[in-house]
Amino acid sequence: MKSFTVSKLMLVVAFAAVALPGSVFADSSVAGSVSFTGEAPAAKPVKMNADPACKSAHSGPVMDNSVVVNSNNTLKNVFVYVKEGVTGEYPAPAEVVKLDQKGCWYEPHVFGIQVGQQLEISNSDATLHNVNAKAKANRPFNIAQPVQNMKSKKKFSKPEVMVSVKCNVHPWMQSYAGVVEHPFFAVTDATGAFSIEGLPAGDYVLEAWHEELGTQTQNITVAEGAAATADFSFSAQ
Amino acid sequence: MDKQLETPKWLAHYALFTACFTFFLIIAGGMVTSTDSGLAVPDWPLAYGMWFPPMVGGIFYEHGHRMVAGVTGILILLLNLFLWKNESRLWVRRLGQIMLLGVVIQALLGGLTVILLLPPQISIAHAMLGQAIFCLTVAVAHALGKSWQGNTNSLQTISESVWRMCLSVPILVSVQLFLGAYYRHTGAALMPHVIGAFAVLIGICFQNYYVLRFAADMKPLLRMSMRLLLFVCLQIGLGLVAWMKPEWPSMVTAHVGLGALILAQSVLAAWTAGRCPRKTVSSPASSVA
Repeated sequence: MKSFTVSKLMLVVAFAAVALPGSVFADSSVAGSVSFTGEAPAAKPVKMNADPACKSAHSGPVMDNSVVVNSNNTLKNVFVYVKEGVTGEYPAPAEVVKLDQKGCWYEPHVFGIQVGQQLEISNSDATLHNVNAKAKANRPFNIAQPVQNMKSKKKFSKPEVMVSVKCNVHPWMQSYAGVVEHPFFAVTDATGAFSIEGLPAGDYVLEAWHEELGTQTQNITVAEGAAATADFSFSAQ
Repeated sequence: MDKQLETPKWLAHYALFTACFTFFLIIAGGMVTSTDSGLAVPDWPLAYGMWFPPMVGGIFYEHGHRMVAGVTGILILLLNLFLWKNESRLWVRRLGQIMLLGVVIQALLGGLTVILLLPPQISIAHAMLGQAIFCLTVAVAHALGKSWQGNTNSLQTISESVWRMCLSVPILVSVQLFLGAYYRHTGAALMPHVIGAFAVLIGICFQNYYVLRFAADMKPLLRMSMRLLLFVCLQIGLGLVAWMKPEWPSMVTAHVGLGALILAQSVLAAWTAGRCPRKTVSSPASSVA
């Protein structure tokens, strides 16, 4: 009786693996890190004197985050995405991407979003902000968020890497959105690592984008169900 | 040449004040672009739905510019009323009316830059029209001022070539202002603006040469030409600093402001030359000594 149940279960699993299109069993991943060589630029403190509400939101100095070199000589805030090779359609997920303005600072500084996915922009500050998205392929927008806890929703209709999001009231506030047609993107973290999951087997062009250091691409081949590795290295300019 | 002036002194002073305030508006507008604050207030004519938003960060520059522009508009409107009541010369009143029309168009262009998210064509048109309005305020102040009467009394016959030279400079300066605005609002290559700067310098050097050689006794024109040469030399220096230190908004704005003064001065010089009786032959022997 027990052996019959196990064999039935195995049969169901085998059937599912063969029958489901784009099955999870066939998907692969690519992971890696983005290293930095050379002398890391000294982080400069951001002057927030232009708005007392911004200054008082921080107890210590806030450092410029345009080039963040982690303690292991890797780079934070690098947008890594599959630039070429993705086939098929990937509908926008229901999950909302959030961009917050807190302490007159964008959180996150770099983020990815799918075409058609909801972007929720909120103002957690007790001061006013404008949110100026300088899109080129997409329709640019500039919205006012004068009230604390105000939320605005936006969508991008076309792929665009990257869309600059800026506050002109507080010119140090800068964020970047990588808009892509599929979910195969990631942003490097405080260890410089990234991981893109669920990628079907195939040949791809992977691109790493950094706001100051430019872009790099590399060709990768992802085997069925395997985890590929792709490392990038940017050097000081 | 001109009818005896009956312009009240206070009106001349008021016109001069309006011209100075318009120059201040150009500086305020220049600071908006230099600090990248043009979109700090996303709505127009209100600001964040208010008449007076908190003047923090970029709002200080953008809304400050709107307020200065509003005051300038009122000053120009009043100037028109005063001209209507007190100025006998029709063409001076007409200049005032053109100025007023220009201010209305300029306000609409300013609103469009905000609503359409700074399209370069409109931003450039806004910048150029601002310079033109400033020139008109200077022209009216000049026409009402003592200098007009002084110049009228000292007008002498000048050669056609001096007049043509003086006329070519404001045209060159206008083209150069366009190139500067184009560079500033589109991020295009700087080289055409640099070439334009040297073209203006050469044009002003020639103007000085012609005035010195053929119309040296025409003192107001000589003074204006020499002042232009001084301004353009300063302007090239300021331009160099602005290029090397774009993060210094005050320097870039000073460059814009001095550009406006050069245009106004060149227009006044051309106008003064244009008011002189002219001879067609241009040689030292035939020119007015």
